[in-house]
This record gives sequence, structure tokens and C-alpha cells, in this order.
Amino acid sequence: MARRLFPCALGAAAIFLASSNAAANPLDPFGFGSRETAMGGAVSADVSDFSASYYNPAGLAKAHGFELSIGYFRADHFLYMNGKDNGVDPVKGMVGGAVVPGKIFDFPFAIGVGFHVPDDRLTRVRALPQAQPRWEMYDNRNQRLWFGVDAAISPLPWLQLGGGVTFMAATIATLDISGDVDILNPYQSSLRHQVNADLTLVAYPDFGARIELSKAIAMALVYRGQFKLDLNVNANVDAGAAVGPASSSGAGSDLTRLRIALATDTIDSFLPQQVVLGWSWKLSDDLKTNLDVTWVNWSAYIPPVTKLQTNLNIPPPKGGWPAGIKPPTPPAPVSIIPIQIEDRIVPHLGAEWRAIARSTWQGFLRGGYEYDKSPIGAQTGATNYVDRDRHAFSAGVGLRLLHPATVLPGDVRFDVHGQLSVLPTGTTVKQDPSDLIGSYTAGGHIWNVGATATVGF
Amino acid sequence: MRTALYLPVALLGTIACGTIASPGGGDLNLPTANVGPFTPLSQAEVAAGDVPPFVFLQEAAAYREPSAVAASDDASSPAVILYAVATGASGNVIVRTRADDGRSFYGDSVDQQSNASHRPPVVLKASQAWEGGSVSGPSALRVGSEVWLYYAAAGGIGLAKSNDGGMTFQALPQPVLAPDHGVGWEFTPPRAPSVAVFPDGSFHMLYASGDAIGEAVSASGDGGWQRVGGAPVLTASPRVDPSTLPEGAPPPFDEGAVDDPLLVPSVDVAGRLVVRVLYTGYAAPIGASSRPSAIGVAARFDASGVFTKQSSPVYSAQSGEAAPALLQFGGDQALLYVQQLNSALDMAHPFFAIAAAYAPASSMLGAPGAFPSSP
Repeated sequence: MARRLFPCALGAAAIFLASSNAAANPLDPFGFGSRETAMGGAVSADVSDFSASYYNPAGLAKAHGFELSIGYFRADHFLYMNGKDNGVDPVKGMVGGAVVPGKIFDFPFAIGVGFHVPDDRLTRVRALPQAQPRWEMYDNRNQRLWFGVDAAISPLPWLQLGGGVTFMAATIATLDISGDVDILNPYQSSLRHQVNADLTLVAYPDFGARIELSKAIAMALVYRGQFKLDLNVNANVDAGAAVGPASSSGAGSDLTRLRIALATDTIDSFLPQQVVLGWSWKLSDDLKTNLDVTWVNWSAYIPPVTKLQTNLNIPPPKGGWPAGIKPPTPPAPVSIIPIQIEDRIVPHLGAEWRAIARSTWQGFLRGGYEYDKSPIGAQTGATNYVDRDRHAFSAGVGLRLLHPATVLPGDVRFDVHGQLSVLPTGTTVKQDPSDLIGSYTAGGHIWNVGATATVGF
Repeated sequence: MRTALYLPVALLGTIACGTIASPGGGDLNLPTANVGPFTPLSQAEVAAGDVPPFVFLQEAAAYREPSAVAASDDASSPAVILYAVATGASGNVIVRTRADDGRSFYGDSVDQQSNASHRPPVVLKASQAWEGGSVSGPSALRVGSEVWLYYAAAGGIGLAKSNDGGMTFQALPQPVLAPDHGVGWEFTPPRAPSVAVFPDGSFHMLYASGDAIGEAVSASGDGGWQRVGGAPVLTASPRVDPSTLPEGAPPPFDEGAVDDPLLVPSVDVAGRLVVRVLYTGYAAPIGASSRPSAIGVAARFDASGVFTKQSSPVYSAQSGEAAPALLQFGGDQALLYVQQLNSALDMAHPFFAIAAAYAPASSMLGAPGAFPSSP
């Protein structure tokens, strides 16, 4: 059965690849799959379903049969500055994937695909002035479509190895503006614009290994690569400048012509490389506890601040500029202030208890905790990359139906999760009294709920 | 089996195709010191017929040097009373106007087109010898049930009081801050006062003299003003050799002089007193044939001491903008009023009028309201 499904899985993977799916990182804070999220993401040594594409691709090789999973999660932010809700968009959408096991040269082998498809937008690009306060880790970074394809093999009974790639879209755009400008009353100007944008693929690798030290203990080592998304926008303005409404000024009445070339280069989203070391202890047939420790290379982070180059060419009209009219000057170049950010070790704890075991079904209770110490330094200067430490408490329940029907020789699983992330309120105290933002408090919480269904064949 | 495989793929495609982005959030209610940067009002934000960003305009009066006080006890209301200098038949006078929406001012030229009787009343004109026949630089302040109006004249800074809500004023007979020839940096009589009450109840005044800004304090506000130290608290930025600047970087906008202070004290979320000042910065010194100007901001943490400047202006229109006035409302919104040259009617003969700008720059005001029926 599995062998026959293998070509189908390759075909499914090809469909995904050909459709230029993107990938990103909403899974870092909010997890992937209800079982895994409920266990605080501490599953790198204890995962074999579709979510292995994110947590540890090596786990795919432990799959027992073809599985299809589909689910949904929604994370609502209640993040405040100075006690007021900043309206950070929710992260929500479908999650799912497939695992197709087989054998190569008698070695267990599997292909896995996983996806998170937002139901509001596929992706969002945003470049803000570095002084504008923003929830750096939650505002824009997580509004992404995620897609991964992985393969795994078990060359030895106690060893599984896996790897794959994920994909992301970068943006290159050109904005052309032409028409006529009334330099005394800009609101009477008549301008046309044209936008051309290209999305190009960016891929990053991930690798994993899982070692069974004994029947009760397994450990895992996972590497997730770094990627960055470029957003390049070039704008060209070529317009006649006249005095009076544009409709009354033909080309012959133009005082001069405005020619402005503007080029921006922004790293819109940056995912630092990560290394995960994980353990899973099976304390009894019904209880297991897991620990993941993730090193996140935040010190390589590039904030999404725009580098701007402007070329302004506005020759004075014959006879000079009329009284009261001063030609525009190019904007002062932005001096980008390096972000203070440090690598972090993120612990994840999780536990799963098989509370009910019947011949036809099983019930599970799960819990987890994750502590993300903010990697971003105190924003006492001109920048305002707002972040706070995050304590994520999670819980969930699961139901496994054992071989419920002849057409479903595998199990059918239903899992739900709830996760509360608490960001304790703290005060950002500015050193410069003339700072235009001033000191502020920031904090809040995030609710994340979801459900996942898996059908095994 | 094939159906089981393709169904999720088809479902994904349906979801993706149906994805319609809503406007991105995350930038609501952002913290701000509420002193800019400011964006000039647009056509949709000013009264129909006004040319943005001008909101109080009358060519003959050439309104300038505004001072704003809230017209409502409701901190979320943009209703404002504005005092401004006008050119009178025999010297400059101070007039009063009002806008319930912060923009549609009683007696504006557009208002007068349909209400010819709407003439901003003169609330103060020179009546004493020390004033030299002209008054300017109003700074209005609510003190208890009264409205106090500090103003400048030839002999220094005076004070007039109103006990009818700021409609009529009675000036004190003598200036509250007279020239002091013993203060070296004050080579002109003090002018352009701005007075505020600090949390400890003391009155602080910033004033301009020469090309700098000084400070005086008083326990009562209507007398006993003492200059603070012997040096100005805000001066022009040192001149910079343009060849030493990074490529594209402009020189300081206030290399020539600083003027027209507006004192804005507050207590921040960390419990610190933050004293901010909006001011006019001139790129050229007094007497220069061309003096580009912009509105800057400086601040300090203590009740006394020199101010630290923001290097970039918070409002720049390259049209002679000067003399800032401010109305803060709604917690994180502010309207800036400045005098600015209006050349829309006659490019060769621009005249001063009151322009308005709004912060935060990421949002806009709603549609304007009606002109009020009284000043």
C-alpha cells in the first residue's frame, strides 16, 4: 500500500513545488499541529506525522502508514502600548500535510509535506521607519504562507535521518509615475501610476536526526536554515510641473519637468538559523515527557528598515523659480541604527498522558510550556523594535480511533489545543528627552486555539 | 484514494484563490510624545473653500503668531480657541477666534463669504506707553477660572487677564518681564513668551531675545518673574561646514537663530517630568535677506536646564513657517498651528495666514465641521 502511494506523494510534492508556494515562520511562535502545539513544541524527538516537516524531518521515517492531516488555528493578539491595543492582526489559517512512508533498499523511507495557508492574506510585506513602534516579532513576520517538503530514511533501527527545503517569495517591484503636477496646489495634480511586481523564490534547508537511545529514551538534533526576504521597490517619477490645475497646463506651459528616481532595498522578513536539541522520555506506556532546547541565531537578524536612494533632477525654469516657489530637495538619507539583538536559547517542555486506553479508542491529555526571552535589547534610543519576554502555556486533548473502518486501516486522530502566551508589561524608558515617541509601556497576551484531524490509511 | 489525495490540494487552492487581503493592522494607538512630526492638512481636512493647509486667513489682517487653548473640558475634543496677531489700523492687535473641529475658524475668509458679520474680535491692543503702540506674541493660559494672556510689546512682556472666558482682557499696567541690559545675550527686548504651569505649581516662561531663547520662573505667574541663570536655554545650532557632512545630509535647519518657543510640559509613563519646547528655527541669522525656517522640537527631563534638540524639524513647508501653537487632544492627536506665507492667491505677494498640520502622520482627520456662530 505504502509503496503504491509513494509515486502519488511525489506527484503531490511536485504540484506544490510547481505552484511556487512560499514559506515562513508563523510556526515558531504558534506551533504546527494541535498535538505539537499543546506540548509546547517540545516534539523534535517525538514526532512522525505531517508536522515533522517543521519540527524534525527525521521523524517522518517513523511513520507507519500513509496519513493525511488537516486543521486550523487562530492566534489573536492582545498587545498593548501605553495600555492601548495596537490592533496587531491575528495569525490564522489552515494547517496540514501528508506523510507517505515506503522503503528504499529495505530501509524505511518517507516523504512528508506540510503547509500553513493563511486565510486572510498569503503574505504581507511591510517596511516601517525605524523609529515607528512596532511589535517586531508579531506584527508582520508571521503573516506568511509556509510550505515544506522533506524526506527521511532510517538506515539503522535506532537512527532516523531527514531533510528538506522550504520556500519563500521575495518581491521586486517597480512603480512608474507620470503626468502633471500643480506645484502651488498639489491636490489639483494629475498623475498616473503603474506597478510591476515579481515574486521570486527563496529556499532554505532543514535537516534532522533522531536517535533511539533505548526503548524509552530518544533524542533529536535539528537544523533549520536562515533565510531573508528581499523587498526591492524602484519608483520613477517623470512629470511636468506647472502653475495651475493640471487640466489647464499642456506640455508647453510646464515650468519644468520633475524627474525623480527612487530605489529602496528592504529585508522584509528574516528568519534566523536554528539548532534544536531534543529529548523524549517515555516514563511509562501511558506517559511521556519531552524537552527541546532551541538555539536561535538572532544576532544575525536584519530588521526590516528601508535603505533609500533618491536621485532628484528638477532643472530650474527659464528665468528662475517664481517668487514663493522653492524647489523640493531630496530627503535626507536614513542612517540605519544597528539593532541590538542577541542569540537566545529557547526551552520547550511538553508532556503527553494517555489517560484512556480502550480497544477501539484512546484519549490523551497534553500540556506544554515555552519561554522566549526577548532577544531584542532595550529600546532606549531612536529605534522602537518593541518586544517582550513570552511565556507560552499550552494544553490540549486528543482522541485516537483505532482502525475505525475497513476502508481506514490506520488510525483516525482528532486533536485540539489552546495556548496562552503572556508577555509581561514592561516600560521602555527613553534616554533622549526630545525623542518623538517618548517612554512607553508595552505588554499583553496572545490566545492561540486550533484543531487538527488526521486520517491514516 | 485519488480523491483522498487530491481533495486537500483542491481545498488549498480554493483557499489561496479566495484570499483577499484586508488592510494590515498593528499600528493603532502607537505611543507618541505628541509633538509631531506633523503633516499639513489636506483638502479633505479643511473647510470647503479653504486652500490647505491654511485654516485662518484674511489678507488684510495677515493673521500670525497663534496661541491655542482648548475650548472644551473634554480632553478628546479638538475644539480650540485661537489668539493671533492681526495687522490693525494703528499697530498690531490680538484677535480671538474659535473652531469646534480645530480647523473651521470663526471669521476665516471663507466663513466671511457667507457670514459677513463674522469678524474676529480684537481682544487686546496697545493701550499703555511701555507697549509702544503694538502688541504681539500671545500666549494664552487657563489659570483657575481665568484666562491669562501673556504678550510681547516694545517694553518687554506683559500680562492681561480675562474673567469672562477669554473674550475681554484687562492688561496689567507694567510688563511682567522687562528688558535687562545686564543680561549679555539679550540684545533685543524679550518677545514671543510661552508660559506653562509645572506639576509643582510654579510658572515657567520661555521667551525669545536676540537669536536665542531664555527662561524665567515665577511662583504666581502675574509677578515676581526671575530669569533663570545668565545664559539662554536654547540657542542656534553651531554652523557646520557643508563639506564635512555625509553625502545628502542637510546642515542643521536652525543654524541662524531660534525663536517663538512653545512650552509643553508633561509627565511620562516612567514618572519623569519631560519639558518639551516647539520653536522656530532659522537657517540664516537675523538680518539675512533670506531666512528659511522650520519648526523644531527640543526637550529636557528636569524643571530647569538646557534643552536637547531633535536634529530634524517636526514641520517644514519652506514657506516662512514660524510661531508654533499646539492643541493636544484625544491622548495621541495634536494639531499644530503656525504662521505661514500664503502665495496661492497672489504668487508675487504672499501674505501670512494661519496654517494647520496634524499628528500622527499615519492618519488623517475626518471631514471638517461647520464654522461656529461666535468667536
